[in-house]
Amino acid sequence: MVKSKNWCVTGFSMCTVAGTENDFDLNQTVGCTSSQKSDWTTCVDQSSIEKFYDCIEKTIFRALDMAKLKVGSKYRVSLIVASNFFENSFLEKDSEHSDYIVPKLKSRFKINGLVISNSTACASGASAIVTACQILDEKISDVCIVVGYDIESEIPKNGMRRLGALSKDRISPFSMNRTGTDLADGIGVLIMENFSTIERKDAKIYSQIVGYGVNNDAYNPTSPNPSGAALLNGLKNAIKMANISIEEVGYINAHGSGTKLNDLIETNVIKKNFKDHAYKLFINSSKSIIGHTLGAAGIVEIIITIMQMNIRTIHPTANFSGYDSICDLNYNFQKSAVLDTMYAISNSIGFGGTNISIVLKKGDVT
Amino acid sequence: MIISNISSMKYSKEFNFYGYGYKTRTRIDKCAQMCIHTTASVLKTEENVMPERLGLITVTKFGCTASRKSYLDQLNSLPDKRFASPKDFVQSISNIPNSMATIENNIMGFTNNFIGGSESTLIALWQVVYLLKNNIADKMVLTAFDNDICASLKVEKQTDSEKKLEIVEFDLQEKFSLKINLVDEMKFKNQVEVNVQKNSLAPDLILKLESILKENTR
Repeated sequence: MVKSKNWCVTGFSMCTVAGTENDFDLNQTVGCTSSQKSDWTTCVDQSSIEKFYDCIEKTIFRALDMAKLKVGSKYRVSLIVASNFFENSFLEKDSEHSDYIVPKLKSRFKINGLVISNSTACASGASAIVTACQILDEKISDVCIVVGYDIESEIPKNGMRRLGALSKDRISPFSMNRTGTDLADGIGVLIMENFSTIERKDAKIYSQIVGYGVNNDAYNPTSPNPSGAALLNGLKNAIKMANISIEEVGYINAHGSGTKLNDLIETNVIKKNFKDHAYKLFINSSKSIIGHTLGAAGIVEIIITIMQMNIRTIHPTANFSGYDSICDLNYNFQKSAVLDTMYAISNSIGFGGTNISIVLKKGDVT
Repeated sequence: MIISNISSMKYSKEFNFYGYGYKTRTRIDKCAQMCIHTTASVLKTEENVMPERLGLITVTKFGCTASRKSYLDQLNSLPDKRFASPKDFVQSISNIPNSMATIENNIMGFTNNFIGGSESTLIALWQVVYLLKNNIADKMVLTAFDNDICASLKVEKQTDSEKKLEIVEFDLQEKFSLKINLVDEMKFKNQVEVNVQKNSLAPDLILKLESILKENTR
């Protein structure tokens, strides 16, 4: 097992538009500065692939600024990309526009390391983060730019509706009357570096990734295994790699997609793994506020987790619609909570059965 | 450091899943059929591996093109898009062949899916070795598929039995190459450097490794 290596997050940025009706302002509850708020709520422009590319480019520049990194610096930089339906979505409109974004990003940001595209459906973002950790661990690169992007187009919307995964009214994770998820556009960028190789004096460590676990359901391409065995194994492996006790974890950013089965399985897995401590954990679903950003979700939710840890506030799970006696943990319905925790976990579950848990340690920014 | 050896390699071309005697009620994209088959072929003689310690990484440049085209055609032509086939939708997602191969072969460990050509296959092979070296998995299968061809190889921690190719080192940055030791029955080692051509199909690297192996064991 890999010993925890403290892979550091030195910059991040995202671009989402609330994909769901809700009563909460994400930017307020996760402590955005006013400039971040205006940048981050700029709608993802999916009117053309060029405009969408511009959104991605701006988001990466903002993350690089935060990390005090310049394009073409002395560092060896790798680009790890996560996307799910994106290429198909633009093919839907224009078949000439496949394989457009990654080569352009490579030349714009003068990538001198590896360029890797991960696609494990809705777990793509988390897969890309895991790949980045491994690249940093082997010292193949000094810096990894991890980018996740996806858009809500006819392909996922139509396909997921037919599979019964979309909500009938609005996404209500862990509530009794939940009917499915809501899709949303999203771009998320993380700048990751090795703890031992950060030389820049002005660089801040916003969070450290200290463990991950990846396991597969081997059950059904679109349906999770009701036993939740793979998610449980992933969670156990992540905590083992982080070398912490379950009591040290204070908060879980759940996958919380709002589907009947998914929320139930995730709840049962948390109960199985954390036992009595499960009832003391703070749990929420960022999808209840921003919607499901598909391939970008893993990265966007890691960013939200980092921000919440740093401002010691956990955002609410929005759209509560009835108490579910089986989903009886502390999901933080309807109100923010104050929490100072050193460790948090973000879960990602994707079509294809990939289950990923990532353990985050609070950074030195408060 | 020599820690991993490729112990089994297979490839399929124009494989007919249904003609193979496999009973299934649903249509499976050709790429997924080949992915299931070649993954199963390299695992055929597998003994006592915990499913949670067995992993699969897939690589593809184009994904399941037939399903994707079919689904897009339906979206563009049907008056009501809701009637577009959900089977085509699911199989247009690029990691679904990986998913089907994990289900059919009971692979419950680390899984990942890369998009790209031969260079992505080399990066995937590097990740396979990383996972074995760091004890995240005991055995890993790497399967690359594109169009009408699919190739798989199995990598495991070095044992005395069935040595074929020992992975020596990767150069992922400058040359995109792989150094391997060829080992014959007399334990004679001969080092070969495999250079990876960018923009080639994902399975090309595995096919190249197989041809090197055949040439040297003739």
